[in-house]
Amino acid sequence: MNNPYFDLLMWARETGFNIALIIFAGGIVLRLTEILVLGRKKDFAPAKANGFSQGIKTIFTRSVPRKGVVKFAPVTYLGGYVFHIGFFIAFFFFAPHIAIFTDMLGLWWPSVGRVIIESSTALAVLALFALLYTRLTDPVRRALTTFDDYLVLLLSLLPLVTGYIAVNKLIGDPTLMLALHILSVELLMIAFPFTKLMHAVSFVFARYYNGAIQGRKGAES
Amino acid sequence: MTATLQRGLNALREQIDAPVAAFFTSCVSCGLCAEACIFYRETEDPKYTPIKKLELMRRVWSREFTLFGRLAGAVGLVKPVTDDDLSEWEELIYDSCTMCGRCTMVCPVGNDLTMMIRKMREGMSASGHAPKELIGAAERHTDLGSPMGELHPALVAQVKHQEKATGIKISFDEKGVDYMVILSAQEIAEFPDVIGSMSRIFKKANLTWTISNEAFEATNVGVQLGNRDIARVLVQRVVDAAEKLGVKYVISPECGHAYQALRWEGPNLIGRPYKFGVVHIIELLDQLREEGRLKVDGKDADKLTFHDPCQINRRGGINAEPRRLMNMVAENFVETEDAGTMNWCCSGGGGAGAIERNEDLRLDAFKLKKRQFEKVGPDKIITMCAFCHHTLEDKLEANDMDIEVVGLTDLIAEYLDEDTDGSKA
Repeated sequence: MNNPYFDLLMWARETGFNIALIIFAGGIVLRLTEILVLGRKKDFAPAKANGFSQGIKTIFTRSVPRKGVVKFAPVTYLGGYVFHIGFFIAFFFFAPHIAIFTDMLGLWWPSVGRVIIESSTALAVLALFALLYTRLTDPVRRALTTFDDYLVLLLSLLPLVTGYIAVNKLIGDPTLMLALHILSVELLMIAFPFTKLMHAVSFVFARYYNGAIQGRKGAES
Repeated sequence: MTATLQRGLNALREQIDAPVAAFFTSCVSCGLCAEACIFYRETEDPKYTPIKKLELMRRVWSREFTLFGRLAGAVGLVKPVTDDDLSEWEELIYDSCTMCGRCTMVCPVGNDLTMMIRKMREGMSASGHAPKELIGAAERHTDLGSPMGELHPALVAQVKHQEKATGIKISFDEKGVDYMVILSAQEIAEFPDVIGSMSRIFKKANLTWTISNEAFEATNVGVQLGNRDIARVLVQRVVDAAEKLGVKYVISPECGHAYQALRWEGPNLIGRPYKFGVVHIIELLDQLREEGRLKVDGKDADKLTFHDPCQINRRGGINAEPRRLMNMVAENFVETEDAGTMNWCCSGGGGAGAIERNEDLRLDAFKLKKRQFEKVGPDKIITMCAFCHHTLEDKLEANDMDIEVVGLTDLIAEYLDEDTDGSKA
């Protein structure tokens, strides 16, 4: 109990987490409300096929790139996949993370071993640097990139790096590193609804609309 | 703020709905849409990145439709859209976008960028930032009946000529028939043989049809310009004529945006469903084939390839139908790379082909199709849009490529079996 960082860890785990969770959840509700409240006009053109089912289908099928496109932006495509999959595994399949979900929601699922978690984390970090590199050097990405894009790269990087350091006790006080890890996640949660991180929720709607619009015409999506 | 800018921004605001908000919220600036754009692909200029073309609409959405954007706007972090911005964007929204829809197909978060370009054109035209060629075409279309001006005398002359060539009488304003045929200005002026082709095919299929003297023009420059009021007036003409004649269907001709305008946008422009159906000519021919009412005799021995019009295939869902028809009459049908849903635009669609100042850019863009055609080496290119047909001929000639371009309806008519009775069993 003499560890000077213990209080910080406890604050991060309780008060900090609760504040972040409220902003995270409230922010997502606000942003989704901002979208849905705009509504869609009734479509009077008779549908040729089922837009709803194609909308639902497109939420999943759009995860796979179209044939022949990867070679034109390999870093963005591959970096994107490696980051998302790596982050997903490290976030959802690390035993201590699952324990949090079990505590909060009563849900449980099997964890994966340390080797997989740490490899996924390392690959996700490498992918983030590859994505940063292409943002800095590729003319198309450079022209599109704003402060928001760099911010979300940083916010996504911090939990991965601090988590890796904390778990492996690489540098610094382990209690402090764990506290910093949790705080970095809380930063990510707070920023989530108000930055491009929000795509992790809104993509479901975007893909659905795309599929539904094309689908009712009988066109592919 | 000027009155025109205010009007433009109002028009833009009206276009922002839940899908637009979901699309802008989801964009992660990955830039993958650039690789799908024919103008970026052939110039490698980042300004042609589709999502970049939508920057002004994104700013309006962010500043006015999100809480965070409003706060950011209040402290000057999100700039308001100015008249100068709109002037600068005119080239990106009209000259370098054919609304081909490829970007919509590759966006990993599913953004329908093409739909947003269509919406953004509403703001551009309302604020007085549309190309003069499209404004002129819209004026001719509303005042004289066609984007090319007064075409009715030419139509009557072409119909007479086709009647003479085929020996089949073509009726005007005949009530009680099943179908009303409308034509694109390009067909009347440049490819009138399609009238005779339809006439022969329909006679064999025992299909009753007519042409309206009041509404024979299928194109809709209001959709390309981005002016719902003009688009509504033009659609209403066709609707009024079709409902007056009491036809069951209007046949949308070989014209890409005409199909979009009448089949998909039209009912929403006039605010109600039609009292008739809309069928694309190629859908109809495929249906007649399926019913055994369209029979052909012989096959074309030349090497044929097919060019998919973006608005009919990618944006219209008519993909398998032309291929089934091609296979009826083609002995040697070879597809180009990316054929079908991901086919590349002819470089002239969406009104871009009417703009003079982008001629060099369109020639650059066509290089992609040129390479694809060179790889296949066809004797003939078949298509199902008169404006694609026109653009392909024009650009092939500019590139000294001696390849014939043929409309699919004309190709089918060429091999029509005149001896077999194709009427309903």
